[in-house]
Amino acid sequence: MVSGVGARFAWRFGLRLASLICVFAVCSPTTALSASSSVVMQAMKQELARSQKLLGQQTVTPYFISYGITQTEGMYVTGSFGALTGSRQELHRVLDVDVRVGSPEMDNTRQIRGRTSEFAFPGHPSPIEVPVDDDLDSIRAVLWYRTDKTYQQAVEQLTRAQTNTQVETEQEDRSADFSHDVSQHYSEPLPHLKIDKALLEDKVRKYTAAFASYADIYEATAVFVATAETRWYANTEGSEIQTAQTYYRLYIQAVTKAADGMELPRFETFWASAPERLPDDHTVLSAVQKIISDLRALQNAPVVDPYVGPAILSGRASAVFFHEVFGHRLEGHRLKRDYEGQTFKRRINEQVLPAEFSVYSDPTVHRLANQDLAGSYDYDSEGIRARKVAIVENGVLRNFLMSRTPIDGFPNSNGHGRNQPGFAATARQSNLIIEASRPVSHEQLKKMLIEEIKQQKKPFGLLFDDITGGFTITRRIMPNAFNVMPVMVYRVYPDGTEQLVRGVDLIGTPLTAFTNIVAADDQPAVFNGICVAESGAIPVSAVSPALLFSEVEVQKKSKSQERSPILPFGD
Amino acid sequence: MWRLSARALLFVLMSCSAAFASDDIVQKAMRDELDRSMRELTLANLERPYFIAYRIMDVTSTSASATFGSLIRSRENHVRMLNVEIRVGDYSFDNTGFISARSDRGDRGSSGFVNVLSLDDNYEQLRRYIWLATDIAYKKALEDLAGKQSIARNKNLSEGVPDFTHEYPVVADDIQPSIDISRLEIEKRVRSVSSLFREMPEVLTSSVRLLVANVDTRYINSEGTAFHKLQPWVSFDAKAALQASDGMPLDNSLAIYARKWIDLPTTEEITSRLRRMVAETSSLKRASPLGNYNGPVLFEDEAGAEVLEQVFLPGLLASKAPVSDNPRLLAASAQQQTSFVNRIGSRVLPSFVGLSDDPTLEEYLGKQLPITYKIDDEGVSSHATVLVQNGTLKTLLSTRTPVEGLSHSTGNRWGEGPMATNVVVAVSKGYSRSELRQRLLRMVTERGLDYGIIVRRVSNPVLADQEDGYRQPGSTSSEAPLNCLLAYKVFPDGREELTRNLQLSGLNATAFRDVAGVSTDLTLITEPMRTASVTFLDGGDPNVVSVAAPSLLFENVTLGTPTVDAPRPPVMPHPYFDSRN
Repeated sequence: MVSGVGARFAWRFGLRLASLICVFAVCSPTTALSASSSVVMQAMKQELARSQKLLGQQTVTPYFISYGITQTEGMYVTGSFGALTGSRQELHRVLDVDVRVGSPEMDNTRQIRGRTSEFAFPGHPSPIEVPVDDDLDSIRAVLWYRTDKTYQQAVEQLTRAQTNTQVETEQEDRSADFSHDVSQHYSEPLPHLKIDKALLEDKVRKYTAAFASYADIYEATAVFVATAETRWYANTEGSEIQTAQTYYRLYIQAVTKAADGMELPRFETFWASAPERLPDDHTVLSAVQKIISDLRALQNAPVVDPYVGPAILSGRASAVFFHEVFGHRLEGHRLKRDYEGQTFKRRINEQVLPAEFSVYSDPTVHRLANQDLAGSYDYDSEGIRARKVAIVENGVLRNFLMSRTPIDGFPNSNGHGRNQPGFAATARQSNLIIEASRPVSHEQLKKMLIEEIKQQKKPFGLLFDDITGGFTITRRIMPNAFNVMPVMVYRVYPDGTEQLVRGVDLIGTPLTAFTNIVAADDQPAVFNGICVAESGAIPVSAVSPALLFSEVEVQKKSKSQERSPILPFGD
Repeated sequence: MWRLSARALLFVLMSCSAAFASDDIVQKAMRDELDRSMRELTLANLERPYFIAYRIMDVTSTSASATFGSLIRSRENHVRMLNVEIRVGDYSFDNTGFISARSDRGDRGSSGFVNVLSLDDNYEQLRRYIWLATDIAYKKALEDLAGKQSIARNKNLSEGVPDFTHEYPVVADDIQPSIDISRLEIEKRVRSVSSLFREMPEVLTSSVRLLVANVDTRYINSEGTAFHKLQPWVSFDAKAALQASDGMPLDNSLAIYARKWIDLPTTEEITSRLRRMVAETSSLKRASPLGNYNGPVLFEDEAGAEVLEQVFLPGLLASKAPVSDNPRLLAASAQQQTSFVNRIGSRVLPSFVGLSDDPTLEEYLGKQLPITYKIDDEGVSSHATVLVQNGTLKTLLSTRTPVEGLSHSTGNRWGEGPMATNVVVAVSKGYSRSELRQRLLRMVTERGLDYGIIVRRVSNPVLADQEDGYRQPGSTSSEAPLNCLLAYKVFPDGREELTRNLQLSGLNATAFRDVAGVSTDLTLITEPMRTASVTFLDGGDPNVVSVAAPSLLFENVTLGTPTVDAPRPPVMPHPYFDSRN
């Protein structure tokens, strides 16, 4: 997690303990109510019709109203050093309301130019909670009040937007404010969690018990998260959608310190859409032992100085790199707002990557490289059917990730309008898949790295094997830099020997970085995570082969100044 | 010098039994780490701790909220939290009370002393977290002491006032019966109460919340104090939002607190009170706004206790000005200093009024008080404290962090600072309700005013801060203005006219010195108090005080108009009531 102006596009891995929702559960889709017969859908449809009629009698009438209600049935169980530290189960519903006045060509969502601080970043809105009881009247009461409020705000906002267009210079992007897209009807069975809470509690104890043998491991946490999410969506265009998704996630993290005070974290995550695809105890306990051995190795690893030279990014590291550096710059709304960097806006049909690379965003694929993907869905938050989008074909930029906010030349959504419940939807990534047409084996990629080292007469190159996450800045007010935060980095010497090092972050600027990609291996790897941006925290995946770069830059990582504990642990 | 009141000594002698069960794993982990840290914790040639205290709180809670008869959310939660206090230096000058922009080390776990611990009675895990938290707290204490010493070299820091009081060690249990109510029962209750709003078309939005918690606290310190206390807690609140035709929000709330489930009024009683509350609020829709007013005001019944609690009581909490190397932090801190520290011995109320606080009080005039304790959060035995006698300030409610004129704690540490608990006003010369009203009218006539003002309810900004029934943790609203929820113009002929949009401006604690008259009868209220004290309960902390106070007549109070924007009333009618018309 990061902070700072424009730097919130974080690939967040692991929320703090207190905010995690978890579970290890059995999810059995049941034959449930269809969308049209559910009480929630009935309430939404009745209020849509009533609002359309009553607000249609006002001077300023809405041309579009939509409701999304997301029900989350979740449970979290956390453990630390062999003991249980938390166990909670929750059910809640959150409402999203969109009321648009004006016309699709110009409506209340139009950016107020010259009055929006480029430093401004939307805060966390207070979620509008909807009753979890299937009671038509109480759900309608919430819908009514929030629709009315949102309508009144929309009318005020439209007046401001209309004045702003008169006062300010002509907008560079002349596209409409809202797309014309086809209404949809779709319904999935409701998901339910069947949770053996005691089993989960035993598991987090078991998975963290091994850490208790090490006094110099200062944090050791296991979190089981399971959520069954149902989303009902309806709008005045006639869409009625009921979708269901389940997530099962196990997150294990441990932290030690080096003698110089540097904190050294190590983690493993397991992500599945069904409980049977979560790892067995043996697999998890092996991962725990790997974390422990990595931490001990990191404690003794030397610190790297700032360096520029050739490097390999593992598949997972490359996945995060592409998500941060490339993916965020292809999100449609960023190409519309005049405070954004708009790196690729004028580059359609131009070469933006080496010719052997293609990039897709495909929320319809659920599993790849033997792993479930976190960024999969059937319909996006705006009720648009998910689809595969070819972003880059053979190095040439072809498309952007679009919500229902058009940009010049891209008048329609391609099913990438996403949001955390309570936030306004924007274009976001789903499953970002990077493919290379001429991959080499991983061994060959390493040989190519050594050739680069020798050719550049560098003392060593770098191998980034695992990372915790990263962030990027896309606005004009700040340098459009990125930062990928590795945890397992190796120096690779010309003779092929490798040495674990620590204390660096991978940094750079986007356009330069892509010109330095030399080759890819043939082993795509998956990074599942939570991405945080203007429309909230959403699950995403990125899949990439390992990449060889002719040049990367690393800077020193910020470091704790705190000494290790004065007294040893225990008596 | 160690001193102890006879009453406190008696308590110590009476309660010299073990505070913990012999097989208490949590206590053993605390004790073992405390003993070792006092014995061995030192860094190079820097000072060793002269005092260490551990407090572990197990908070088990169940809460639910509802709107319009349906459940919004419910949850069960159990957290175990550790608080570590380490002092280096000595009782006269130590590391505490120092704030610095550099104090936050920005390292692992250093952002707070509160750590989440194992829910299992796992000795090794508990010990590990206490060990790590102690280490971080000690290092921070050393740095704070150095920072404070460097400032002390250049400034005269309240010479003569020590940083920590000497108190005799106490070993005690203070176990109240825990509350065991099922989540289903709590859900049923909030649904049931909330369904009342289906009969109230004038209410735009509503929420009902119920929280039941048991707070189990273990405490030990290096002076030998050890206590184990269990405090049950029930907190209910209901909010209703209405709107006048000009858009002015008319929000009102009902809050009820108890320490026994049976003390919570029945659904029927609660709904009856809510009906009355909504009827009062609804009548405001037809009331005309007051505009600006300057003249006599009678805070009658509940309003007398409310205004005393919100404006006067914070001044009775002894708060020591911090030391800082950062002028901005000092300025921010000074803004929050409301204490009467320099006014002990001065008159702060009329000579016919006294005031005391007694955390040990369990009931008042037959009514159970929601908070009562025998030992405070620093292990000091609590007792009745006369704060104001014949109008003169005698002492302040204090903790072991003394202020000028106070050498001992009054046993009022609650959370992170001093807190009033059960405040009772003593009236030696009061008036009947009608006499007080006549005095108000006489003032109106003498000043040639058209009318005077009677206030019968004052809003509570802490309750108003709650979002959908859940209070935002840490909310103190110390700067929030006070609105009069229910106020009347009263004319010389005795006629009353409801008015609205009244905000108290300029009424401060000093003004209570000149209260022109009080009633003989007292009204008991219990409500959240605006303090900076840290909260501890999930979903809403009871920084709650009970106050029994008379109606208060002020000769001169300024009332203004709130500056909040008045949103437009809804364009569409409520769907439920619309369909029934």
